[in-house]
Amino acid sequence: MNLRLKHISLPLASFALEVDTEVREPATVLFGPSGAGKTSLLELLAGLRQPASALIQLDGHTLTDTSKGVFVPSRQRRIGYVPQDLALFPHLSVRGNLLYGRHHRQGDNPLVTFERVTDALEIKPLLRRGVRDLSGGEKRRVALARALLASPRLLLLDEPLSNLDSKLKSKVLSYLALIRDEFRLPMIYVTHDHFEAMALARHVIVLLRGRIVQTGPPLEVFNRPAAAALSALEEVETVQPARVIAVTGNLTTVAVGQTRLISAAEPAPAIGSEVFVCVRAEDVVLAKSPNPVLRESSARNRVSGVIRGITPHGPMMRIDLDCGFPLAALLTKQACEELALAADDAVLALIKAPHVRLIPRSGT
Amino acid sequence: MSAEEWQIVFFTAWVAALSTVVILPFGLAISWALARGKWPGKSLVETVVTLPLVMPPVATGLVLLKLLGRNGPVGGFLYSRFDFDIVFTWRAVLIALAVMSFPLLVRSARTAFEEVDPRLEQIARTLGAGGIRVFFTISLPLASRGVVGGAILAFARALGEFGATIMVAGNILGQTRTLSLAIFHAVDMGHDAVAYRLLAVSVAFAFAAVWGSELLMRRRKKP
Repeated sequence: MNLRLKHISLPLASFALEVDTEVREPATVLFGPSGAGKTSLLELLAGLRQPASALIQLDGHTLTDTSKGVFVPSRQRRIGYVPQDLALFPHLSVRGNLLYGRHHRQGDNPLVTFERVTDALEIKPLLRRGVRDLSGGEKRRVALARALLASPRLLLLDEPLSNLDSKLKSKVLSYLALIRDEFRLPMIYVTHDHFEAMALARHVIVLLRGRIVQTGPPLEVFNRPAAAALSALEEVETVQPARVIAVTGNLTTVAVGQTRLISAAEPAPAIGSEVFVCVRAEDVVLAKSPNPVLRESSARNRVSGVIRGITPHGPMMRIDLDCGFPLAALLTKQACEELALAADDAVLALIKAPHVRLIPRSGT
Repeated sequence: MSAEEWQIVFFTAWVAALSTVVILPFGLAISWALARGKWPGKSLVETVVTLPLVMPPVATGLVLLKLLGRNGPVGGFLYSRFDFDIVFTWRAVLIALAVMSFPLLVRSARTAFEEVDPRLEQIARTLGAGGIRVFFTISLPLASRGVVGGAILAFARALGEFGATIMVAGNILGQTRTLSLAIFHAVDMGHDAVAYRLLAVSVAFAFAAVWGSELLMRRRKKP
């Protein structure tokens, strides 16, 4: 995929969306706090909004070029859009919704057939039902399938996992990975959640008040947020690639470099699979090391490390550790002072198993 | 009931139904444009369309009489060109009923269209549907309750029209006399029995229309 977004300008309520970038990765996440203009950018791509100025080209086809007065209408863009509210047609059955976009487009993607899509997204048993009484997860699958069956060249997804419980989330995530890999459909995915971004994206665009403040691979973007404004807005989170080495009961052991961490992630990933380990900085407890008392702590993870940096982060202090991998912790100023923490101090980091989250890392 | 009375009943039902059918496409187009469009002169069109609802029907009838008569701009043109008369014929009844019931259809259909989530129409377009397909497969079905309700209201209004009809079409037995005119005429002439029979028919019509619409709405609510 090659999506060019040049000198885009769209006035919004309190600021203007101004974007200039090029997207080549087939799975791109548009990341940012709510109200950053993410949805507006999607609607611009789908042709549902008229920008003040823009040049939008998808694989060489011009979709919008205000300098030449070109504006390809939505129905000819072949861009699938799954909005946050899904917008299923309430008066049609599931089948009616799925078939809505199918008739007038010759499916030039031979991978996308009614059979395959309904099979893959497990919609077959729902086909005759009305859409009103579907569950949240079922509705999302139907909306995804409907967009897919119109055989788009690009899929736009607006927070497809919001308001889903974690079990459903991982299920829908696996469907999305399937769409990305099996149907080979490029997608742009809007979210303000690290977890989702890490699970799907190979490229992240961070949007803040209508402007792109950072782009890059997810690991880089989330471990080193470029904009101070963004890092203050977001939670600080350590994200590291790891490999699952053991599953005992409901606990999963992963290796992060030479260090082992125990996670209570559910469902437990397969042994040997590649994952991302995510630990929120506020979930990390620090203690001076060596500290014999802590041998008896309930925390499943006790990792020794060395302090590499201490920086203020809003009302808190951010401590960057080297534990064989970089780990960030957020402490109150009082705690920092009481422990008299300083650079190069040896400390023990305590993390409860449920706070070690695992994200499947597919295809990277 | 006499043959004469039957003729009046059938004529009234037929011309009211025809007027509803005639105004339906225009009514849908205008209510759609009013609900969704932003165009200059929108509020003027809105006002003109509503006018027959608030003006005295006799006054509306007078306007129509002046427009459609042989000396009026529209009627004069038709008469001189095509030797075609409107005023004091069944066509005048049709026009009077259409004009008088039009605002009821438009008001109801417009609200119904406004209640259709524009998001659904947008998504339909991203799925490749053009404007006409979006209208007939998304907007109209979703607004159907309001549209059907409006059409029934318009039909009922047409059945009972009096003031505008008598102005522009007169009260000619066998040609322009509708139920309302016939009841008035019967009472005027002291033929109370006739008046009561026609009254019973009116009640039956009204009952059927309202009950039918209730049934229709209830059935539509289910899925």
